[in-house]
Formats: sequence, structure tokens, C-alpha cells
Amino acid sequence: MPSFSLAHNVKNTFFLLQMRSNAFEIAVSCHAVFDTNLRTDPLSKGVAFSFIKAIQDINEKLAVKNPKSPLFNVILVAKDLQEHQSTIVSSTQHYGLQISRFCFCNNENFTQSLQSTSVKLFLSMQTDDVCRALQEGVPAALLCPQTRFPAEGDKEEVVSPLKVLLSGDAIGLPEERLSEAGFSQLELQTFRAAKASMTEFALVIAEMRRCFDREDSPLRVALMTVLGSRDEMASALLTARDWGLEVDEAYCLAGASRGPLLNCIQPHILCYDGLYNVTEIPALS
Amino acid sequence: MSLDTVQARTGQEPTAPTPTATNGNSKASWDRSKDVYDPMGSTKLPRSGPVRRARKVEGGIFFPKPENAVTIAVSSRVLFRTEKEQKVFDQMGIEEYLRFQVEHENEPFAPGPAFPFVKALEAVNAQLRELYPDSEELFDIVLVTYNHAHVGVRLINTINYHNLFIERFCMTGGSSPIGYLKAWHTNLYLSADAEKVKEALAEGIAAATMFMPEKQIEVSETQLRVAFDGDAVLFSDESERIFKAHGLDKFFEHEQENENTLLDHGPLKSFLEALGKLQKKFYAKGHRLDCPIRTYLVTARSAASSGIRALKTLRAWGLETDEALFLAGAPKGPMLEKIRPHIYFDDQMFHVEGAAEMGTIAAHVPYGIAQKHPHKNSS
Repeated sequence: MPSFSLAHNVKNTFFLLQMRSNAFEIAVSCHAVFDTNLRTDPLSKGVAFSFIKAIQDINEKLAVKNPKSPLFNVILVAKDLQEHQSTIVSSTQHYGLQISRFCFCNNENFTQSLQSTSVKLFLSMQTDDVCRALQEGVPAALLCPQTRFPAEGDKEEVVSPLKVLLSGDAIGLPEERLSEAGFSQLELQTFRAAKASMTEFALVIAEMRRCFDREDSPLRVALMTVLGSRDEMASALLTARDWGLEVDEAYCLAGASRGPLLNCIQPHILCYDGLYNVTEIPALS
Repeated sequence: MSLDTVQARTGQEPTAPTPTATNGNSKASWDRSKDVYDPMGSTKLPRSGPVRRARKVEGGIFFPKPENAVTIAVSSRVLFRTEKEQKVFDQMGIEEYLRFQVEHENEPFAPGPAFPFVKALEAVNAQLRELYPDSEELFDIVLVTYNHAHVGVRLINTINYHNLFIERFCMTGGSSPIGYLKAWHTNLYLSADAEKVKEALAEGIAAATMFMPEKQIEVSETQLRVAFDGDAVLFSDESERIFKAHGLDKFFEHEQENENTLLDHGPLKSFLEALGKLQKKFYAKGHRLDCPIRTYLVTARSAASSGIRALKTLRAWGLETDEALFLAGAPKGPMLEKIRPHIYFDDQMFHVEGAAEMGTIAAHVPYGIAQKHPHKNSS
């Protein structure tokens, strides 16, 4: 058997943007950026392609506005796609994507390879991957597809602001309330991990958001409570204020299904609170 | 009645989600498997199994799912009085406005034009919960505003101050909230912004514009009273078009000829239907005479002639109003003053203003032909 290295990292020699020492490294799943089912060359755009454009828009504007502000560094994570390495690399060049590094890994070791680098946030559209990353100590959040504009006329493509949706439950809902409600230790552990990774991300977002005006900001921050109601929302809003985080939008669902609302909000990044994929809880009473 | 519930609620700390078993039936339980956001439509959940997570329960009172409830979406400017803040916004811009809101965070807003209506909805809810403890067929009030999240704390503080039962809201931070109305399964949208109301109507959502009244008469705290105009409100504007274009004689002629043809439905029909459904729940428990919901048709049609078609249409729809008042062209203000509705819907600003002058809470439905001839007096 050939020996398997943990992961195969490729530095993008075409990456021109000056790396800043305080760059925030985001690892994005390749499956979201490109449609990896269709073996075209270059690969066609994936449902979260516009996310990369939004990130680049922020970087470009930040570079002009504030030389000290942190920027995003994007790493493309390709799981089980080793044989398509050259197509993936050339596709990013084709679309002019600023990817600082590629990480080719397999499904078994992807969290380890993320851990071994300085990745601050791993983004995937797969709830399982996000949940697993969180449980194995990698900060992670969900990447949401952009469905509002079909990817047709990409010539006149307008970059919409990057919308980050933070979980108001993770911020405002005390953990005791969850354990009283019968969430398991594993769920609570995921909740804690999600909260920790979200907090770190939120602080960086806060710093970036402050560089921009209220209107026309390339970065928008939204807060949503799904389990919690107005009191948890108030507490989350006040905590965000303590963090110096400008929140633009707030949604309080108090138990209503979040699917229809998410379709309206259209976030790029959904900071996962680690609870919603759990459909079974231990019998309580 | 609403006061009892409110006190019960405020006396308790909000509790965390609890299992369905303690509250409600299995059909209504919060189906989390459907709730999971599945961006690819292909994500397999790590585990599947019986769904047991409960709806949010607070102080023993659950929140209905929007699709099962009669959802009333209200804007912050109709629920509360915000003229002062509006002035700051208009004169000093968004930043000063937000700073003002945060500085005055602990001063609750005063009640706005939709406030008594919302209170009355809550009074009805209290009775519904008593008669049907497990049912989600209740009013659900959602605050829908394009305010920035900065104003959120003040709004929540105000909701707490007035002991309102509003747990759901969306603050879109400047973008149009209309898209969210469908996501909330909105049955009625009330806003101070006529353009937004028109957008909602164009989406097929019952909606009306509300104004800050100069004076306001006392309204019932135990019975919800809703009054509707007929043409271009409950019904289409078909007949009103004839009247506006050809005058009263042609209108009578047209109505007589079409007496047996049903009128098409208007923008508020679905809301009357929703009220009717809840009324039947009270009738089923023997509360026909003291039903806490009462509906009124207040139309300029006359009982003898043109009113017949209106009544026939309502009957054919399986709907009825508790009272049908045919004013045969007489002013609506004095009649509405006697009814004292929590809200009266009319498509003609002339009638809305006339009603408001006499202290009635009147809402404008910017729909149909009357919007093109705003100055012409109706029959």
C-alpha cells in the first residue's frame, strides 16, 4: 500500500493578494464552490460560488479602507478529489478566485488536516461535516447556497454583500436551559464548540464590519434565534453590542421553522449552533 | 381576560424548551427533521428517529406554528407611536436615528394605532387557549419591520413593558420585509407604509395601511370587533368600477342584472374567512351569543337593492358577518362610532378619514379602482 500523508497542501503560486499577519483563514469545501459532479474543465460554478466573490469584495475594500484590518484568506478544501487536482487549480485561475492554498484530503482525515493548519473557520454545505468538524475541535459553520439569483448572466454579476447569520441561541441561551430541556452531553459539547468558534469569528467580523458604513456595506451581520424567544434575542443583541459587533438584521423565530425564513434571509454563512441536526433526544419523562 | 394570562406569564421566568409529551399533541409537535436546513436537498442527517423535541413552551403556553395560526404581521410604526423617532430619522439621518433609539432604549414606545387590535387578538387567544388547550389555531402576532437590529432592544423592552405576547419578529435592517410575510404564512399585514402594503396586496396577502389617529374612542377589551367595507375590500372592485366610470344609475342597473352572479373575492376576504374559522370554534363550545369575535359589513350599498348581491356572495362563500349594515350612501362615521371596531377596513381614503375623524380606528386597503380616483365621493 502506498503511504498516505495526512493531507496534501498546495500553495497557490498565482495568489497575488498580500497576506496580512492577522489574516483570518477560512477553509471552504470545494463541492460548494464548484459543481464537482460535472467533470467539465473548467469546472462549472457551484451553488455557493458567489460566496468567494463576496469574500474577495470585502478583502479588496478592506485593503483600501484600513491597512490594519484583518483580511480573509481562503483555503479550498477538496475532499476525495485528488485525481482532479489540476482541474480544480486551473478552474480557480479561470474564474480569478483568490485562493491562498488548496487542501486535498480524504473524508477520513479532513478534520485532522484542518487542525494541522491554522484554519479559523471551516465552511461546508454538509451539516454532517460541520457537526463532525465541531466535535473534533475544528471551528466550523454552514455555507448556504445562494438561490435568489440564478447563475446565468455572470458577466453582469453584481456581488451581493456577504451575509453572516449568527445563532442568537448560541449567544443568548444559557447552557443550563438546554441541559434542563434534555439535550445530551454530546449535543451540549457541540453547542459549546459552536459557540466558541462563533465567538472568535464574530469578533473578527465585528472588526471588519466597523470599517464599513451602515448602508452599502459589503458585509452584513444578522442574528437569529430559533429556539429562543424575545428575551434570548434581547440578551444576544446586548452581548453582540458588548463585542462591538454591529448587527444589521435580527430574526426571532420562537420555534417556527427556520427553512422558509432562511430562504428570505439568504445568508452566505450560517453559524451553526450544533443542535438542529439532532432529531432524537433521550426520553426525559 | 388577557390580563390574567399576562400576569401569569410575567410571574414566571421563561422556561426552556420542554418535551412535547408535557404539552400538546404529537401532530403538532415541532418536526425538527423538516426544520433542518438542507441546502443541497441531499444532506443526510447523522441520525434519524422519532421527533420528540417540543415546541417552544413559555410559562406553560406554547407558540403555534405559523402555518397553523392566524398570523398577523404588524410593523413597529403601527404597533407603537414612533413619530418622534421618525422625525429624528427624517431630519438627522440613519446614524442619529439609531443613536437616539439606543439612548432611549429604556423608554418604552407608547401604543400605536394597531395596539388595541393586537390586545383584542390576545384576549381572544386567552379564551381559545382555555377552550382548546392543545390547539394551535390561535392568533400569532409577528413584528415585521425594516428597522435595524439596533432598535431591537428598545422594541423588546417595549413589548415587555406593555405585556404583549409577541415573541416573533423580523428586523430586516433596511431591506423590504415583504418577502418575509409569506415565510410567516401571514394572514394580515398592517403597516404605516402604503407602498409596502401595496406590495403585500400584489402578493395576494391581505394588508392595510394604518394611520395615527387624532382621537380614539374606547374599544372593548374582551371582544374583538372587525368591520369591513364590501367593494374592493371583501369583494373585488368590479361593481365599484361601474360606479366610478358610469355613475350610480348604471351601478344599480349592473347590480340588478348581476344579482345572481357572485362577486369575485377581494383582498380582505381571506382574513374574514380566518376570523370565521375561529368564530366557529367558539360556536362549537356554545359561545355563539357571547363570541369574543364579532364581524361587521359596513357598506354604502343599500339593503333593498344592491346589498342583495353582496349577501348572496358571502353566503355562497360560506362566510357571514355578524352584522351587515347597508348605509345606502349615508356617511359611515356615525355607524362605526357605534360599533367601535378595533379595526375598520376601507378602500377609499374618504371613508377612512371620515371614520378616523369620529375616533374609529380605520385602515386603508389601497386596492382597486378607488386608488385611481381618490377624490371622487362614493355613493
